[in-house]
Order: sequence, then structure tokens, then C-alpha cells
Amino acid sequence: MTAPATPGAAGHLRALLVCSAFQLRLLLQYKFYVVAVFVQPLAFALIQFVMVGHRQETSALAAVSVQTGLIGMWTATLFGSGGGLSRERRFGTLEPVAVTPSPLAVGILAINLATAVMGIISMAVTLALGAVFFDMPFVPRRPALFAAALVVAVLANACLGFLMSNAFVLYRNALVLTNLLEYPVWVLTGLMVPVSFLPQWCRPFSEVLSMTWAARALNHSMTGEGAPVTEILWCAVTGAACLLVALLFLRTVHDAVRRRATLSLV
Amino acid sequence: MAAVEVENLTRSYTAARSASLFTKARGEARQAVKGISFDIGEGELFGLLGPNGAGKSTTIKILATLLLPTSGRARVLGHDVATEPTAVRRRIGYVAGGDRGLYERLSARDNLRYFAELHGITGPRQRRRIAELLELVDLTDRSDDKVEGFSRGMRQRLHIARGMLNEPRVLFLDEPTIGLDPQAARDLRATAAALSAQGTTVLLTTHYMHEADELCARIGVIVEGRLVALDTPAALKKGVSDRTVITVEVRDLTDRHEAEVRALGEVLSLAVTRGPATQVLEVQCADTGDAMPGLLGVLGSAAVSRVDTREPSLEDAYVALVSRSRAARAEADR
Repeated sequence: MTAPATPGAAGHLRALLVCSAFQLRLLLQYKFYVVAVFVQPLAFALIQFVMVGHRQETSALAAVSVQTGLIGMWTATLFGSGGGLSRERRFGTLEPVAVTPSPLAVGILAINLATAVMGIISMAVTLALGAVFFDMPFVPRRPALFAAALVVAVLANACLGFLMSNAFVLYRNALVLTNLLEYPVWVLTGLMVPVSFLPQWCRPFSEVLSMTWAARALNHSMTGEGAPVTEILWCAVTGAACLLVALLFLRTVHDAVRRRATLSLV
Repeated sequence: MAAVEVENLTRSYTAARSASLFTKARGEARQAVKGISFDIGEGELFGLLGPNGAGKSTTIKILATLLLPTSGRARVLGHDVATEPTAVRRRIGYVAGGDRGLYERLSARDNLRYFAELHGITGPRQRRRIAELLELVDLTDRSDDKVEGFSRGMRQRLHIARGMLNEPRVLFLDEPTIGLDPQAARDLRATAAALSAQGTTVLLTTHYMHEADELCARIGVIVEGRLVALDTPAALKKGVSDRTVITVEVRDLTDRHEAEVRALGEVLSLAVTRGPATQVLEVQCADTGDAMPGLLGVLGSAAVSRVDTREPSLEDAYVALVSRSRAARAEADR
């Protein structure tokens, strides 16, 4: 009887993707969560479409679709990640996951990735709403770039959710943070008002958040304006930086939960 | 090389309620494990017994790398559990008793697939291993049903299967038969014994003395965080072989009766089991003839319905050890 070989980076990536797929299946069974992911961006989009619809400008309508879609994506990730970690605690699955040879990051990030993927529903809803009721072109001007931007946005969102998850792992009551972090991220990333409207001191925060770049890249690939490639790259870079910071934090969090014995607490 | 080495291990907990985001926990630290040491040989089936809160699960969680020790050292197959958690995790299986620890809305097979991936077990090997384990724990017929519809026994069997996914060289079983029906518990004991026979080292915690007696080559008894005995079941029983156990069933036992029985000079230890209609006293004494008159005199008003005498069992040895340890502790505290 020999111990299995330690899975390498490719093994961890495979485990992440398979576990994410299982987490996605789990999420789809929580009907209220699915409804929230569907309804919230729909409500935001409807209000904003009515506000800007009279302008009949494609760029304004595209911005509404993209931004409200991203609003839904962030909410899906944030609440999904917090709820997912709470559920892991409630089911008592955090300990069995932690005791496997895969890094704890794989088990946690699988939840974040699944929730970020759920955010695609939000984007689809707002795009469909604009196309069906407000004469917005459904097909982006640069579809390949739009698809690339969407994939990078999902991954970057998962990384941001992963960073938040450190708190959810360390503090069993950290779920309250989800309410605290929803709106500020919407504002800082220009999803509610343009970043140029924000006070000067806020703007550096906007620039380091991957969602800001995701919004720009998706907008520009919808309208065919700007430089979406650069924005996609910045989204990827800021997302990767977020992942790196989250991984460093998780090492500390992992030791802390072993010291504090909080992993099994509900 | 021993499979598990524990040297002067301690673990303290601080009252969580005194901690907040901005302040450190200031509550008094409670020592759950107080400097225990023991070794488990490769392929040995070792039992850890003790009352609730004695430190058994804490010890097992330290060995399974879920908790850090406060001081002391523990190694599993030569790897330090504090500093080499990944190396330890590759070689161990951990099974905790109870209902929790499974994805309720996934099937039994998908639960195993999920954890197999995290163990790096993929492809045909994964399918083969999962099929073997489902067969072993008799869940093949229900393998595609969601766990939320499973009975406690079925969940427990699935826990066992999950703990064995990576063919662990050391298996930690923390009260694995809790809540199982007698047949399921018997099957699980047979599985543990078979694994041990095949060379897997098994560390088992349990409250069921007959289980420990039947399975374990050696038993450690933990009381209030201290290892008070470590020996074979036969040797532990021999420690109380000079005693006789009188079992008295009564219908109206009061606290006063219990206190008076404990105060009898001939009584060495007492355990009381309270049922819905009757109460059973297990009284250990050096000589039945000396103890019986006093005992029946005290319990005369408690409506005695049955009196038996028997040779001491492992449970009696355990009760004696726990009583002795608590009495010594109380004496030291005075």
C-alpha cells in the first residue's frame, strides 16, 4: 500500500475544475439563489434601461446591459461564496476537504469559481432584456473579444470572491460582510456611476479592481470602441494579483484555523 | 518505525466568546490534552477510550492535521503533523462519526468522486476504487441516490468509504459506530479488523467497551486530557481481577441512595445507568460477601428488583480507571 503521488499543478487544476462543476450542480439546486441571480440584475437593468432608453444610443444601452450584468455577477459571487462556505460549515464538509492532500485553496476556489460562473446568467439576462425590449443589438460588435472578456471577468470575479472567502473560512460569522461589500464594489468599479464621477482619492481603488477593467472590456467589445484587448489584459492582471494575495492570506488562515480550532464550528 | 508517535502532546482551547475581531481571546485557556505520549505500531489496531470531553477527538484531530498542538510533538509515518501536513494527509484517512461531513444534495457516488479528485485519484483508478468501496460498505444499490435521503447508518458507511479512498496507511476512526444499528456496527468492526490484518494502522476512539475489547490490540484510556492507562485489553481487565461486580436493578433510586452507596467502605467504584422505569447500579467491590449486606441495606427503600454478581469486564476496568483518576484529581485539587 503506497500513498498516491502528490497531485501536481495540473492535478490541482483538474481537481479545481471537477469540484467546481460539482459545486455548480449544488448551487443550481438552491432555487432561491438561482432566482436571486436572475431577478436582481433584471430589476437593475429594467430601471436603468427606462432611464437611458429614450436616448436610443447603442453605447448607453450596451453599458446598461454590461454593468447590470456585472452587478448580478458580483452579487452571485459574493453571496454564493459566503453562502457556500456557510453551507460547508453546516454540512461539516470543510474538515474532510481540509484533510485531503489538495491545498485548501482548491476546495475553496471551487466554490468561488462556481458562483462566478453563475454570474453568466446575470449577464445573459440583461443582454436579452436589452435586445428584446430596448432594441439593443444582441450580438456584440467584437464577439470573440466579448467572449474572452466574459471568461476573464468570471475568473477575475472568482479570484475576488476567493479573497473574501479567507474571511469566511477564518470567521464563521463573516457572512455579514457580504452585505457590507456588495454596494462599495459596485460603486468603485463604475457599475453604478462612472468612475470619473468618484472623488479623486477613490479612483486608485477602482483601477486595482478587476471588475472595473471587466466592465470597460465588455462595454468596448459590445460597441466596438476603445481598446478591449488591453482592458482584458488588465482585468487578467488585477485578477491574478488578487489570486496571489488570496493564496498568501490563505496560508495564514489555514494555520490560524488549525490553531483556533474553528474549522468544524457552525 | 512506529506508525504514530505522540510525545508529550498538549492542546489548549481559549474560550471563543471572549475573542472579537479587534481583541484577542482573553478567556481562560482550557487544556484539553495534557502531555500525553504513546506510540502505535504499523498495522496495529489501537483504541483510545475516555469519557466525553476527555481529549480523544482533539488528539485524533491533531494527528489528522486538523488542529495544531499547543506543545509536544506528533508524527505519522515519520512526518510531523504540525509542519508536514500535506505529507501526512497523503497517507491517512479520517472518519468522524455523526451525520455531518457529506454533501447532502450530491449522490453517494458523487460525494466519493468529489473527494477522490481532492486526493488526486482520477480516471479508471477512481471509478474502480469507488466501485470497490461502495461494494465494501454495501451502498452499491443506493450509489446514485442523494445523501439527504440516507439513514444515519448509511451516511456512516459512506464516511468510511470516503476515509478509505486513498488506501490510507493510517486510518483514524473517531467514534465510527455511533448511531449505527448492531448489524452495521458489526460490519464496520469486521472492516476495521480486516484493514488492520492487511497492514493498515487503525486508531479508533469509541465509547463501546465491547468494541474496543473485540478489536484493539492495545487501549489507551484518557481522562481529563491525561493518559491514565495504556495496555492490552487483557492486562487492563487483570487490573480489576481482584474485584467483583454487583449489578443491582432498582425502581426508585434517589441521589441520597447513590451517595450512601458511594460512601460504603467496601464499594470501590459505582456506575449508574438510568432507564425510563428502572435504574441499574454497577458496584465494584473487593468482596461480595462483605459488600452485599450494606448495599442491600442502603438500597432497601429503592425497590430492588434484581441482584447479580459477575466477573469484571473491560468496561469495569475502564470505570475503575476513570473513577480512580477523578478521585486522585479531586484529592490533588483539595
